[in-house]
Amino acid sequence: MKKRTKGLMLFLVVMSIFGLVACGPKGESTKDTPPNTQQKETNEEKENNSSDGVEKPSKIHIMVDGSFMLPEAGQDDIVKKYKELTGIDLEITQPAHNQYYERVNLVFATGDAPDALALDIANMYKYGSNGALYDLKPLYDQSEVLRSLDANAIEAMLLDGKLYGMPKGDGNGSVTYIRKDWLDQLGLEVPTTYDEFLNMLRGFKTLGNEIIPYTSPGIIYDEYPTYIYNRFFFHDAIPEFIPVNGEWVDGMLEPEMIPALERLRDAFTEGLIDKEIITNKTSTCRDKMTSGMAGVFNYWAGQWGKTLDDNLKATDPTGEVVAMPAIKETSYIERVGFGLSVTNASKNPEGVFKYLLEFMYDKSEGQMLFTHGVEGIHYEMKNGELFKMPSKANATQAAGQVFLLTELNLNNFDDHFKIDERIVDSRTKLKQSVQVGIPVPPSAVLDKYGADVQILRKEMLVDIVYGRVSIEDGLERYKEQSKDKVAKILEELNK
Amino acid sequence: MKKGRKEGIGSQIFDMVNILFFILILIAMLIPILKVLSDSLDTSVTHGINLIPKNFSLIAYKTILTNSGLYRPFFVSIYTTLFGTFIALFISCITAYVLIQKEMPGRNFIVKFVMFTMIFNGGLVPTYLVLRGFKLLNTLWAVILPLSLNVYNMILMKNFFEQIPESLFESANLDGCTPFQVFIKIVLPLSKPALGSIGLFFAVAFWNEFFTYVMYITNTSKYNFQVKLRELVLDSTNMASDNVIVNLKTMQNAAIVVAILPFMFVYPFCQKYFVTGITMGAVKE
Amino acid sequence: MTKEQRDKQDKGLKVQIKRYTPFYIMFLPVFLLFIVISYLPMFGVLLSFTEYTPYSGPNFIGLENFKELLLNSRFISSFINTLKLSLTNLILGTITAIIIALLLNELRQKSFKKFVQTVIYLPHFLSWIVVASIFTIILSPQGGAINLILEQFGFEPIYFLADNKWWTPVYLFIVRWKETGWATIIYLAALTGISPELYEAAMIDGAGRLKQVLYITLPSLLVTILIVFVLNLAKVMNLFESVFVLQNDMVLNKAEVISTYVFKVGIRQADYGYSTAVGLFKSLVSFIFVLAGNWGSKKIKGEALL
Repeated sequence: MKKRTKGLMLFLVVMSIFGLVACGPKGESTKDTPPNTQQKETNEEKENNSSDGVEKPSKIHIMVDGSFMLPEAGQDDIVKKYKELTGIDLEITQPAHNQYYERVNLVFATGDAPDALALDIANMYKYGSNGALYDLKPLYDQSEVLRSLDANAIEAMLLDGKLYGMPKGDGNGSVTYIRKDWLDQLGLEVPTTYDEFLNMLRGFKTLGNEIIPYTSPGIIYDEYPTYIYNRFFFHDAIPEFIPVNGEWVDGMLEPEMIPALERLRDAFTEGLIDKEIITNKTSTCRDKMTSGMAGVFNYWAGQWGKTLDDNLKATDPTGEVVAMPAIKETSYIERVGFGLSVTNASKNPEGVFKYLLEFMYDKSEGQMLFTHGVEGIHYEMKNGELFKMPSKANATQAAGQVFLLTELNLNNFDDHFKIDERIVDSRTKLKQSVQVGIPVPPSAVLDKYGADVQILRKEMLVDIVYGRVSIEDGLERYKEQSKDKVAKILEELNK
Repeated sequence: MKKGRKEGIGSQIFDMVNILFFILILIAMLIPILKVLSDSLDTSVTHGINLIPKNFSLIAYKTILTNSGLYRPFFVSIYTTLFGTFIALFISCITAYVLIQKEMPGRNFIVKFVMFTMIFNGGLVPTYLVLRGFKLLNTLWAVILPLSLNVYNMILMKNFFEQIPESLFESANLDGCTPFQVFIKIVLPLSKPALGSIGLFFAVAFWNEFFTYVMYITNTSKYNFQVKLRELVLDSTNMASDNVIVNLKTMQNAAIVVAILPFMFVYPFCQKYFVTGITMGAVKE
Repeated sequence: MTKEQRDKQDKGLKVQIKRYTPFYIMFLPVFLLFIVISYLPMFGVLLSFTEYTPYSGPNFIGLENFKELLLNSRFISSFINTLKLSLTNLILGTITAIIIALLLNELRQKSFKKFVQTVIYLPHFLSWIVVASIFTIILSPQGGAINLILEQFGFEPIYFLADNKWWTPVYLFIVRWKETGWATIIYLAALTGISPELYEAAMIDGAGRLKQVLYITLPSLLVTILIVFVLNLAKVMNLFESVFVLQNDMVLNKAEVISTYVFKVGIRQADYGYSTAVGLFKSLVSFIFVLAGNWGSKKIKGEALL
């Protein structure tokens, strides 16, 4: 019996070696080849290729999140049309929306990275600074097509002079949505100062026992920009690492944080802020708003300006949600948006740049395809105006967008599509007073300790807002607990 | 067996209290579920306990039935659950059948070999690499195979098998049946209750599986209903599906109801086995 | 052992192996499947000695990960929480399931019994994410059913899921709500297996219902209870989804368990080397639990679990 066991063990080991051989090199080769060699290869290939010297890829593999048109809505039609227009096979990998970045980590770790993929700025910086993404700056500088994009948006994406992705559109920001009908009912004007804002919340509170005047998914948010919500209470305080006069500091410990915490605590104690602010998800808040429970909610400008209002009207036809401009004490925060990055795993980055990125922003059929889809399937033209056709997934709805959004368009492309006024309105209100949230530059130290510091911040904020601890004690405790980690992060940032 | 019992007063009081107790349990179990059901049929605002829809509407169910993005995952779920359960039961039965061969040389090794996997596992990245190496990524096998190797259920199955009287095996051997014939002709027919209950264990696991789908499959058309449900229940600022007119809460609740519906149909068939139970247990003791 | 004896034994072994050949053949596919799906990935534990992220590695760094793990306060508290929550869960779960199974068994109205069974199994079919969203609504401090009742009696509303004092009991209750009914299945199956003759004999001896339960039912269930308990012991460290969907940042010092920690560090932050080290540690602890359980099983039942 012993012998048999030994034999089996041997077999096991052999199998495992086979397994490692089968998987190992494949993963390594893409990872370990320095980007330069790949570029050289393509340079050599260049000579025996088309007039402008860029080889046309036969296939482009992209990875996108749920913001790309879903298969049931007609993703195949996009791929087919793309092939027709460019002759290139477009392979789309679209993981579940909520697990997108977990999946991104996995494909990079296992050497399965696609040619191009959608990334938010934090991940773009992370992967870019670690050498996984292709620097598009030289190509961008020479590109007539892409230089027509809003230069500010490109500028905001640069990391140490390198461009690791082309912006998908304007980064957009969060505005404050309010119940206009309640405001009218109370005979109030749209508030312009913090006092008027508080006054409005107090008014909302009088409208019913179950009414939550102000709801929000957390006091600070988990993703960049962490301080995008609750600006009307924070004013100029920023609960995140911020550069002050060229030096990075922990905004949590800046003097302006103390009055901000007072405002949050007082409003909470007065019952103006949602008691469930900690456990709320963005979807819970949306539900509270659209089911008529909540009066004020910070959320993305643009499409949501329409959707929130529509959804409220579905439950309460007399209701009305509108975006309001920032109060004078503060401004809205805009983020540096998503981008489409080309990876170093791509065999032909120039080709991807030319045939995908430039094509997508060509102000013509390419941009049309990636904005509205295919004529006759997703949209139709009538008297020079673009109308959405019924969605393939659900005939009772209009077809959605493909990848780019008209209202966040960066090159003034006229697609003859009339955007809903509420979408335009919320965007206008955002742009009236807005500043860009500065992404914290990536580093291994930040990866390691950032999440812990974030948790300490949240614990402190909640304890203070809920009145379990005084502002001084709470800040003192946070300072004590986060000291080492914050010091390491700041040291790295200020290097 | 209970007919012949003497009926004391205490016994009767106990029966009453027992029934009351279970009525309370029923209420505690049913209210949350009924609330979901009611909210799925209600497009109006609801606060607190409200078990009767104020604004009755079937629109959420209509949306699920007409939206291919919602009903296709449902079929994926049904397919993997049926097929996966079959595979998993087959694997569990074979293993259990081998494990009850007490005299088989190497049995102890097999026991350890199997148990070891219950405790140690490779984690996400190595599993991904192996699945990729065997070309299983992006196929439903990547979901079915890992879930089928459930040691816990194998042991349960083995314990059921052990209760089959040995005399049956002996007489079958004398009749010249091969072990495989014994397996098909004696073990499986006698294990219907075990197959029913463990089969249901597997079915529930397959139905509710989520993680392996999102990690090992990228083709959205192969996602199951649970992945979709999660998307609906948990947020997703998914702009592509933003023009859902029905209010989201109604949709969420309807999706939850749809997700348990199949079990409401299947369950009565399996319940028969739980109730008849494994009567041969006593023969051996 | 003399050479002769050994030869004889070897011969016996050969005969045995020949006799069991069909079984080996039958098991072979399953064996291979285990190798591929379970054993090959296990070589991944080697990653625990490396630094491995999506953009670098794996680079060998020796025991660094383990050193870091033992110094990390988040890891230590998650380890303690896992033991606390999971063991309480296991003990509570076993006791409630046995009690409910016994009481169910005493119900005489067959149709009522069947109905109760159907209903208490229902929550098991709900996935955790669904259960979490249902209870978040019920336990809400604003308009949640429980708090509405509390307010009727003049209490202040309680924010159950974000309160350090309340989270653990509430969590344990929710898990019981979902799983108790389902857990009774095994015991009910075992109960129907008890020979009616035993009860008849007891009745002739004049034993009442309580005595029958104490002297016949419970002892007959003991083996099942033991097996289920030991098997569950092996799963103690795996506590994941239920906690993950019910935790929030405010109760992390009570609600962070090892698997949720591994998930956050390993999959979200993609620190694969370190998280593998944590996973390995977790497995080793499970291993100790299984050995202990097996030892206990030998003591009580007289034979090992398998």
